[in-house]
Amino acid sequence: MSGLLVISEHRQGELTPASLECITAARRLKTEKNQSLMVAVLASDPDQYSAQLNLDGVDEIIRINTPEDEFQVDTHEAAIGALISERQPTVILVPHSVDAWSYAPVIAMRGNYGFATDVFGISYEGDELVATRAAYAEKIHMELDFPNKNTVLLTVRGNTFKPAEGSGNAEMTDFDLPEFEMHTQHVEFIEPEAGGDVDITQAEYMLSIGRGIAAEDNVEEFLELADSMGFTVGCSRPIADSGWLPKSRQVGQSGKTVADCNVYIAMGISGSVQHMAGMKHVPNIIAVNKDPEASIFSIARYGVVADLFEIADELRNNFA
Amino acid sequence: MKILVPVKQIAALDEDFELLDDGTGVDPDYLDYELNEWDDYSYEEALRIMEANDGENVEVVPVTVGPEEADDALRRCLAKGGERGIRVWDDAIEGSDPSAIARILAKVIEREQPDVVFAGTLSSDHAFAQTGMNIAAVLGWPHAAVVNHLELNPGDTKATVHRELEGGLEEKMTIDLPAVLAIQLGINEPRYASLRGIKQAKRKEIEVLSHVDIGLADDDVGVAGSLSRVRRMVMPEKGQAEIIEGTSAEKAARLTEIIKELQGVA
Amino acid sequence: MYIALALHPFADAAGRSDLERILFATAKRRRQLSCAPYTPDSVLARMSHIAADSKIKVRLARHPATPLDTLRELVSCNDSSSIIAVVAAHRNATAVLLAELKWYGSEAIQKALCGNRNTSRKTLAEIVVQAPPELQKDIARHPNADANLLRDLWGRGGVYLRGEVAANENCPADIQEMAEKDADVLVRRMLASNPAAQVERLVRLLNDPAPQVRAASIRNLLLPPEEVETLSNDPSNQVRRSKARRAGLSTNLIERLARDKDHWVRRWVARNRTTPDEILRQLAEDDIAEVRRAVARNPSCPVELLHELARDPNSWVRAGVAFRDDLPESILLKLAQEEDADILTGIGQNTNTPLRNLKRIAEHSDKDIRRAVVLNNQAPLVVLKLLLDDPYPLNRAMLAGHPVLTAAEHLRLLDDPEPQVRFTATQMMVRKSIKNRSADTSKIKANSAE
Repeated sequence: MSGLLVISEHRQGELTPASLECITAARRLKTEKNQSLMVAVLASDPDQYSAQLNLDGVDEIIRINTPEDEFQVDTHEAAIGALISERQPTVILVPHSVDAWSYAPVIAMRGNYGFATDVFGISYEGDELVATRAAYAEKIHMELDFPNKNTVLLTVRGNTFKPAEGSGNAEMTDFDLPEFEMHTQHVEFIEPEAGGDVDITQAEYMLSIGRGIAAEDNVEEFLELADSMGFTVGCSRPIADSGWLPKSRQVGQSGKTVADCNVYIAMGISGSVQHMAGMKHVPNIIAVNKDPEASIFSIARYGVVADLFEIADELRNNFA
Repeated sequence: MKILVPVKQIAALDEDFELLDDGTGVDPDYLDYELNEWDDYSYEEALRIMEANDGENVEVVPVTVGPEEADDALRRCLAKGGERGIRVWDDAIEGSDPSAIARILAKVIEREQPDVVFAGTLSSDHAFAQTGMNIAAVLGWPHAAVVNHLELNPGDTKATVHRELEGGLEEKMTIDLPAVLAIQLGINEPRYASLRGIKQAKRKEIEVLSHVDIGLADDDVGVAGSLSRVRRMVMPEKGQAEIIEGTSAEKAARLTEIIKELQGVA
Repeated sequence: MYIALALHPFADAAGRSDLERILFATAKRRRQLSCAPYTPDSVLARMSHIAADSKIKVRLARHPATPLDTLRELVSCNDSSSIIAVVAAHRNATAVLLAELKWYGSEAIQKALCGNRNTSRKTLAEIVVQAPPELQKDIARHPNADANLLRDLWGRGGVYLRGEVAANENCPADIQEMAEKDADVLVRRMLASNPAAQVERLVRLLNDPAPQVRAASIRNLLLPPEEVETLSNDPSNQVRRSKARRAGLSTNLIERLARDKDHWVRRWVARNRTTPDEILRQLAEDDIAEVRRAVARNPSCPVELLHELARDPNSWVRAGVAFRDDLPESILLKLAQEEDADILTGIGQNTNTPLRNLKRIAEHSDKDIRRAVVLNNQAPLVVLKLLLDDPYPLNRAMLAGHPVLTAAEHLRLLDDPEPQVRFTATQMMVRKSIKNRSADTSKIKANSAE
């Protein structure tokens, strides 16, 4: 029994980058333990995607014709479950995507396969597969193994492995869908709304101010600074409670969650649990605070311990 | 109509936590317990359906797998609504991964025969995001994950749900009932329990069961019943913020560099 | 535990040891208390006696409320440089204690000392001799660095170091001369912001080729407002914005700035307390809402204008009016009828809002709007009582600290499920009873004196 199987995914006509990342993860395993690398594609017209999957290191592309092109959970479970039973790969890699959250656990349970989600490290130790994932809000890494499991299914964390490249020589094969029942029905996709003028939940770059600002008169300076940097302004609860900024700019549990934010600069914010609930997921948090013990630093990527007015002044000069 | 809501009491880490000597877990001395954030939303959704269908006898029952302290999670739910809760625990259950937990919850579901099950999409301690769907696998029920909108009434044979996909996109779909739905944050605004509710919750009934009571064997639960095993836990090397040094002018200069890079002026 | 915590500072020795049995019962609690912001210094002091754990000692050394005596103890009983470094950074550490610390060989302790405002000139002079560049900069900005130290540091070069020297109050005149002619914009800019710079120097810097330097000079309050006039129509937005913030400008200049094409300049003029009424009137009709709001927030805004701004089409402008303490009742009542969350929050906090309207806000369905009455320090008791059962824990926690509550309400809050609420309620009760006790004591004294 051997073989690495990658399940590729697509949405609205495009292969997801995460699919290509899984291929890279599989190639790494292949160099550790040589075996066949298969990539499965489920679509109403699999050839729409099969050429793009013919990458360096891929040995076989398994095309599965599905009745509908959009993701349908029962189709995936039936197809992938049957494919695994027939081809008996030892490792199956699936992107840790929203769709996978629906089907991966079910496939694993039904087949009684080894299973772990959101892994970012995968390797062999001798014959044993070891997977690494995070826990406790990224504060700890856990290493998992799968005793007595000949087949292991893993969902792979996105943006961790580089998307695979280079052209390959894969064999194109077909796999028939088994009989199954559908219990869900896709109706339509709903696009996100275009943002209004003070909808901070769609902002990509945010400058957020907190109690450290000290007085209402100082708020204007930070608004000016944010403007010159091209950042949207947000705030913590005390600022909104005092009427220094509208409640629509409050970030946190009783305010907004800045779901699309990529860079969040927190100035004079200590980082209450309530505030962090609205922004702790942001990938690039920059914290500026006089207090080196402020909780905000524990979730920040960059930290500046300094007087925020001095920093603001200096930044103002750099973005004039 | 009966809605069953599995909830979890999760552990949050104390500031300078320590791992156990054998590295298999966190020293319990450094753990603080609270209700999983997602469960506030799934329970709220159940209560809303109950209240919207006032005359039609909708029952909401929270269920948890955990030791005695986990009663807090149930009472927190019962303070907002619902008349009784169920907790399953015995020593053999220790070390169960989500698949074993799901097996336990599935047995409770078979016993209680609800019309729908609302699970949280994931929990904030381990973030496995498996338990809800694992339950569906054991039961053979229809299922959908990351639900951020739901239309469901007593007597329905199908529910309409929205799933929250990547990039703000949503999918609208229908799903046959009974089903297991993994509920996402933001589907509603969870209420705060009134002080009266908190008092009353103390007197509401919590039924405590063992794995044997619900018809499971010893190797259905615990480490033996799991699909993975924790070999060890390690502290990541770089979890900390990169502290920028120098005078204020230097710090700002470095910040400016970083910001411009991140803004893709790179 | 929280009640025990609140009582500790006020208890006698026997009482304290009873309380400590509760407070220090588990390692987890001790850890929690050693870094919680609400821990009273009496508890911190006792902890340093009982705690052997070095992690706790570090937390204690770091805690902002830890008193000087405890810091001394920590230093005398501990060799660990990490504990000493934390003490060296503590704001309660006096110059005398700091001077005793052995910093030689420990970068961490040196760094802490250089950053502590209380460190004496003498200690800094000792450290500077072999200080690496990072520490040189810290010393250069230290208020206790004297002219000689600064002259020495200037000579060591490095633009950021020179900048810090140029900005230091104690920077000697000869160094300031050199800074004025420095090739680097940063150094000249920091000189311009020096709070002890000579006026003539600032005037010369007003003509600096770099806009940041000119702006810094304008912002320096030592520069008299008349000098600001000398720059007509500066091309830099930053400079004109800095001008707009100065008090006491001529009407001529203010008029020009009020018509500036940059709306930030107009905003600053609108906020400026010395801007004359006619110009405020003009700005109250600006196209940009934030300019109009700035007028509404200006403490010098005349009442007639407030009537107009209270009818502004933009709710954020109207909210700016709602937060004013000088509102005539007619405006208050009109705004109280609005539905906007920011406006209602302002009305709820406004000390002149009539009872009827406060009640309506205290019973609002939005928890954040209800909270506004808690932030109103003159809210009548009958309104505050409506929030005793508020389901949102934060609202109850903030209510517990409200000065208007009496013992009856505090007693009730002692049963609250939220620990923060119980703690604050206990604290308030104890404080009040101490005040009453001392009032009684002085009454007794006064009586016995007669």
